Amino acid sequence: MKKLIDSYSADAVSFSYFRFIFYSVTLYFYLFLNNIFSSWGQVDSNFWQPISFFKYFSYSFVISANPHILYWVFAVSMVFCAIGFFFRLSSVVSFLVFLFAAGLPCNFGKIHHSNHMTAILLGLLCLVPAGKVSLDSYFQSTSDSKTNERIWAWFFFTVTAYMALVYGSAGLQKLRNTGWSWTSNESMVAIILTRPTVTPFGVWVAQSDWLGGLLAKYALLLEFFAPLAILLKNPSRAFYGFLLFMLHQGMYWTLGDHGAFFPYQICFLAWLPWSSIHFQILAMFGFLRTRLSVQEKFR
Amino acid sequence: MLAIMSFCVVTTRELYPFAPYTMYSHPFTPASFHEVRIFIGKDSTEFELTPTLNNIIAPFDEARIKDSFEQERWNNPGRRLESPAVRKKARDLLALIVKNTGIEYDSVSVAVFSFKNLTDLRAGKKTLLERLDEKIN
Repeated sequence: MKKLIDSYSADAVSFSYFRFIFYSVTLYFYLFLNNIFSSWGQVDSNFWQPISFFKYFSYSFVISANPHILYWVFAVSMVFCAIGFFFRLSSVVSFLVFLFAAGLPCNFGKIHHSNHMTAILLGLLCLVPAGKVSLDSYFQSTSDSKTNERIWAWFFFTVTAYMALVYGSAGLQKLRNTGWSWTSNESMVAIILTRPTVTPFGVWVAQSDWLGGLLAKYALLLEFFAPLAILLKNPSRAFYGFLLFMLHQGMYWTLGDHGAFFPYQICFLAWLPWSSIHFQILAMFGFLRTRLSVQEKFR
Repeated sequence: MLAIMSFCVVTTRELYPFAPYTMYSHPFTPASFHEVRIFIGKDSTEFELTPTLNNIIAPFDEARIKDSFEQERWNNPGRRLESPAVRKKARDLLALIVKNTGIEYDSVSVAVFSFKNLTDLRAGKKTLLERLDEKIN
């Protein structure tokens, strides 16, 4: 087990890359592309059907939350997280605000799962140190120990395992609820053509007598065997992550904007081999430096 | 985490932010698909609520409001639209639209459509199953 978790190792700098990119992209998406901060006060309580987490809050309390305040608290805390400033506090604040704001619409008629994965990742990030490239590290000037590297390895392992289980369970649910007939061409054509936002490409796929069935079989097998990806080593693991990432992209190309697929795709940043990327960048700069010195010599 | 995830998967229960992640897992056939469509009217002219009109039902979106009606229909005996709860929801929706647009719309209709077979689905030929009209004076 220890050996397995070690294969997810990340150093202080490479974790910082992940932290900065993940928080920045998430912030951009939730503030500008899919603003989740809206007031539900004008909606009648007749539509209120609280999900598990919100059963602990009263309807009047939930709708009284000011979306503008939540928006700004979320924005500032996410920027702080991205640059690693008061990371411990800001990661907890951003997680709690997101948990509330993203969960709120789920109490009014439809549960969208697209934000759940992001919420789990933000929650797990509360438990890890910010990394070397952060303002916290700059001001405190503390060196990151081996313990921190083990914590980041644990983080990447936990996220990968969680996401792999999510896709594994999606495959399992298809077999349990519908069986292998889920992969029939008719079933896939029905899924594609009944989406209100179906794309011209989706319509083209649905006209075929076999393409829909083939895509359905591919998707089901990819999802069902996703938990095995936990045991893979990079670059195979990252490649499996890429295939799952492309599964959402394929859904976007065929079903259109009906589902919010991008939040799932953001989470695949955790599948990237950040340590290797860091070394590649170092090697690239080293290579550039060598080339520059050679050019200087010949000048 | 593993335990909570497994619990959600086995029981198909939602424990936010953990979920069973059903992801289109239910049987999809042209006949099993029931599409809810909503029509808003004023002075006997009506228009359909489409995703492009999400601003008039904000903070709802078209998919969420339709699912809300579909859920209510599933809870009714015989899976029929006709019930006081659906009528109340229809009136609340109309009140929200009037509030958002400032236009005194006076009727809302909820209709459920389906497809007989794959050929009808590919041709976009829908069959009306039932329709509920709610008029406000």
